[in-house]
Amino acid sequence: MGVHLPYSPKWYWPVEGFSGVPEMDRYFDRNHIFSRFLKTSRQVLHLNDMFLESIEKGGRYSFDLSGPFLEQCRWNPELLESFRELRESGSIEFTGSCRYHSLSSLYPDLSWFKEEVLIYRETLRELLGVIPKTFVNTELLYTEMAGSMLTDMGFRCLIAEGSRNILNGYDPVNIFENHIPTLLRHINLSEDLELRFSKKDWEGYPLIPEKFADWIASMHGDVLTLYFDYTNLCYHYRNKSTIADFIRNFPDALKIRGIEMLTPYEAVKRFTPLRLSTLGTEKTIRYGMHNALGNHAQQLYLRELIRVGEELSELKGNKNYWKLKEVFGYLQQSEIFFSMNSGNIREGYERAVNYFSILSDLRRAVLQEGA
Amino acid sequence: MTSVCMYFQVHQPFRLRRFWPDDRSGFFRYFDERSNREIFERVAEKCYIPANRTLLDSIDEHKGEFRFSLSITGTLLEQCELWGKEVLESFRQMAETGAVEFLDETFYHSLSSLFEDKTEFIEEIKEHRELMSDLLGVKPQIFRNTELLYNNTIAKIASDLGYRAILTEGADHMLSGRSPNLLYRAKGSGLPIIFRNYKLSDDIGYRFSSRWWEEYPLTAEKWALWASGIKEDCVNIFMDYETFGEHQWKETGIFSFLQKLPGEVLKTRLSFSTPLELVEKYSPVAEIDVGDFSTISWADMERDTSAWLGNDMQRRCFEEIKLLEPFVKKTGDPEILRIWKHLLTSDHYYYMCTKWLGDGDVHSYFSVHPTPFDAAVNFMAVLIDFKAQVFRKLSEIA
Repeated sequence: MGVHLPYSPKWYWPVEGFSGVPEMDRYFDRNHIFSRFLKTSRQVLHLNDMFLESIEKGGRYSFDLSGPFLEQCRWNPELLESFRELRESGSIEFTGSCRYHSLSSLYPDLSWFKEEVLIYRETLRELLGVIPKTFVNTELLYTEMAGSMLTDMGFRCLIAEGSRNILNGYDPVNIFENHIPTLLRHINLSEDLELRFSKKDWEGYPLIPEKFADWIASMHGDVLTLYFDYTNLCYHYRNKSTIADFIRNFPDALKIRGIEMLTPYEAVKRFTPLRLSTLGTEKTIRYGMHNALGNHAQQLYLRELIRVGEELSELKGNKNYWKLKEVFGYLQQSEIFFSMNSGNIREGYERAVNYFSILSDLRRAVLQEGA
Repeated sequence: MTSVCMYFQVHQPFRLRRFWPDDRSGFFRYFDERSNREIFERVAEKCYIPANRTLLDSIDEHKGEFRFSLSITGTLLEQCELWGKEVLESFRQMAETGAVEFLDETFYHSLSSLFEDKTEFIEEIKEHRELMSDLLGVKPQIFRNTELLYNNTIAKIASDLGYRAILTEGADHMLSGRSPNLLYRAKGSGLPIIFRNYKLSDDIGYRFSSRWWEEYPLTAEKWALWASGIKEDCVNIFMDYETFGEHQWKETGIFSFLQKLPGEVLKTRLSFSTPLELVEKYSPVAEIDVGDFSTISWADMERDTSAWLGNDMQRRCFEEIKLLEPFVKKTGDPEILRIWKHLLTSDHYYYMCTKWLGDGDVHSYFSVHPTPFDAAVNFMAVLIDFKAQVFRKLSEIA
């Protein structure tokens, strides 16, 4: 389950820039981010309690807490405590992730990606006392280069999107392998829970654990991977749907049908992986990325981001390097890319103009720091 | 006797290229050499050369009685020097006739008059003045601002720089019932103001070839008859020079209209005067007050600044360029300075305009970008790159 809250940029006015080393507040609206976090964290606490009950009944799960979300958790010790409680149950696996929820695995220079993974791993150890064995990339992206790098970094399992171009005709019911054993998300079944659960006009409605477990039981394979957005479960919960009952009773429904719940790393240890040649090409990346990188504004933003990154790399050891790097980090969030292509062109491009303005001020600060 | 005062605006911007950071350098890293050249050559062939020819012939034919004025931007003259020596030569011939008065404006057809600090605005007027003297050997006495943008402060600056009058739009909301066919004076400076008669100007510039118009087809005779109905001091007809052959194609008969117009006008009780001659002949009748926050222009239905600064994207882009000024100037680098000044050209902001109804058609007609949003993103892409160049330069010389 992915838990993520982005660190959204604000409407920045150029007059706020043009001098000094930018603080986060120059480009991001911390009040807005904080109030959204408070609201969401209350719901996450409820949901965590439900999962604790589910675990008592034999459930096993894994959490992909995004980097920006994990940092925000520092604002609420109760929330951190709740995740620690989940960890202590022994039935939860926490996975590795990118510190800034970025698309850095697509950059020509993978050292940014590597660094983000390392920082995240350190934060997870510090806050929850765990060292992840499984890695979940931003947006469940898969790239071959990143796969081999992750193996070298000690990861033993990867979860990626079960896109048709990767599956190449297979069903996502096995462990696949190229450099690293990979679990591919079953899109349909995951979205049943994530998107369709509360929809009254959906033919599967109402979804009860028995029905869902029957669907799973009818499939043939070693392992089936469900991955969904935690905040979407919050949405179902808010809508007074039966999601709480579902979570509580799901483990039993599976057990009766002889299906075992496993965490990703447990699955990798148990089953023999299948070679999947599509994982080996340079082009392998999930479907749907045109929403992040499909238009001209997004391409330009990516290109400029990489250039700022290169200029920033030359400042290692400078006084304000870490401060600039933190701001740069958050400007890489995948949401920034997606939002330039959501709604109509007007909305997307108005946002792009704002982001370009922000990026140009950061670049100004980087160049001045290097002077 | 009533005077017909005609002024034509001659301008082409240096349009930006669809920017992608690559290894090009200098001015054409940002500005599109090929498309600007192609557009210039097309307009020269369709408009400047034939229209200049037509007007020069009329001047000869009417032996000094046909008089008019031209305002040519620095960007257009730069393009003439690069790609159209022949066009430049025919403007020189016009200057030599003595029947054509040339006006001053900013070199770059820029929005610098909208900066709070007017230093750059003044500098650009001086650059234009110098260019007019160098290339055409004339010393303009009358000022017209970019897109006829006007307020008390702009008039004051023109007055301080020694100009004898300023041209602007006869916007209804500002004249509030008063006639545009008289001279007025600006509040503060007392500078004479010459107002555009937009009705009679747009009959030619905008409605000439419109078949929906009840007066279609417009003949020179009919137009001269309308103009001669005005009994006040002056009928001020201002329009884009590109009306002849570019906005109104040759096939519409616009050139034969232009050729017949002076004769038809002179047959009536009207005579032709240039702006300077108006100021010498007539006196201002009342004071006009236009505050800095009510700036007027000749653009669109609103006749204000909203064609360039009406939406969020335009204001952001303009703000970025404005705030960059002290840094650009500190570099002391002539090339950086030149690029920055050309980024102030109003056309870049016009392309980002999103007022769709009515005027939107005009905006998209002039634009090389598929949508105003593309224009804004492209401008910002240029800006990130250019701003970095400025700050890199500053760190080198630090």
